[in-house]
Amino acid sequence: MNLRKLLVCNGFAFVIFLALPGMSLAQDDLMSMLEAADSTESESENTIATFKTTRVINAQTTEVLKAKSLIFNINHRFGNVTTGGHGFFGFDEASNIRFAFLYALTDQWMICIGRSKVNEDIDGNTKFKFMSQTMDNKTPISMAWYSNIAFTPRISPQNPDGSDRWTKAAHRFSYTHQLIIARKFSSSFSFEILPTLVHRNYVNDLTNERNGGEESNDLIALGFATRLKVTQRIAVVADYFYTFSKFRRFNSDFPYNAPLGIGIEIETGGHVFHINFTNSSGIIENQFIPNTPDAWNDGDIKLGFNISRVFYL
Amino acid sequence: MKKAVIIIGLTLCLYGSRAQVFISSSSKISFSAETSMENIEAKNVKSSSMLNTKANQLVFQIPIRAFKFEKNLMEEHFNENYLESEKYPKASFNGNINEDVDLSKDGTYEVTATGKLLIHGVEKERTLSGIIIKRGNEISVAGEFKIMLADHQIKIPKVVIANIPEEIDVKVSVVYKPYEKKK
Repeated sequence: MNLRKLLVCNGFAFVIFLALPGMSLAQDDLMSMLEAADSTESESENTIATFKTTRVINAQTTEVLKAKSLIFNINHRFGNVTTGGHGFFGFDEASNIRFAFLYALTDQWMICIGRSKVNEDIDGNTKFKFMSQTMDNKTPISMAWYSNIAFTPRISPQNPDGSDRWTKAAHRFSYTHQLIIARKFSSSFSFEILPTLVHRNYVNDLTNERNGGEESNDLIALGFATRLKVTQRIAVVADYFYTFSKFRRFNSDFPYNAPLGIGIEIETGGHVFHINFTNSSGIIENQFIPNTPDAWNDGDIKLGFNISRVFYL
Repeated sequence: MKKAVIIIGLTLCLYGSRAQVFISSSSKISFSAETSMENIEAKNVKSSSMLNTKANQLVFQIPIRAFKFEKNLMEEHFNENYLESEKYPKASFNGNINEDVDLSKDGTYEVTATGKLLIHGVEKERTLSGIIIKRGNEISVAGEFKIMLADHQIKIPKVVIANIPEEIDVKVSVVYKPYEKKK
């Protein structure tokens, strides 16, 4: 009798024991089961929109376009704000205008052709994004390589004896090479640094009398750029370049200031507008890294805007 | 002694017909919307789903980033401005089938499922309708329903209101296989 009771009891315990795995499949666990099954095979997506456009104000970004899309880009810099009422605070002037077409050959690689008012420069450039930050941070940064070549067709500057300084076509070429390293720290804050080399085939033979620094064909600069999203469609953007040139430091004959741009970015569907203030009239690196005479301190800043429109072909 | 044998036998029977769980890791979810300006279409083939044929329960996990658009810019706006996929990376549905259907038997069943639909971090109680087809070890589910953007606090700025509809059509198509726990 006792033995039978024991067996029955054990039997019940056995039933409960056997039923346990079945019970663990009940109702609310289905979602967590799915999550567990899912997490084993989830792959990482690339971070999007580190920056909204291919350039901030003066600086390039790691952004490229999707294959076969075309961007038409207008960059405009008005005159110095300090012109005052008679020049309507710079609006009467255009210190630089650049039109550019950008085309994406692949999802990583794009090419561009542009024309600026400054030096009448015609430039071609290419950008290749070879590393993309991922959502899971396994790849914490994005990296891109940017190179350009600019041709300056304007009338050559003259020597004191009246002859042309640029005697060969090669004298009119300059180049930029740049590594762009960016990280999107949060959905509203992105930052990038841009080690840059600008090479000009021809430079004037000049020396800074104060420190003996000589003008050189190669200029190394380090750029910084950032984007801070304020609302869903408006962001504050800024960029800055520091040029390592002894010749350019405290040179009263050749005033130079580091180009600094601060702007507001507004996004409306297919357009992205940048309204900005910058002390540089140059738009491409070949212009603003060697030559930015105006200073923020003196109020010699220019209002400018960038508009880019995307077309899908 | 006899009792014990019966109980054990019964337990084994129960085991044989215990809650069946089916899984799909590549469920297809697409949505479309037409406006006067343009057609918006996106497809997602990386959603996952589980179906418990005993409890008649159905769950979905939908990674927002996996919605692919024809236009890259649309995809960027969808993720950055509307669904905010960095903040809310997944949408989900956790519902129970209302009809008393026996999904252990082959057949075609028209059903509705009531449960919580989570999109953009906002939960909404919904009843969605669909068809379940069971054939041997394979179960497929197909459904169509509408989502009001306002229900999930997806805000559309006035500037682009003509380009973005207030309501979108969603299509779901899932093929399930029996679930085996991975070790």
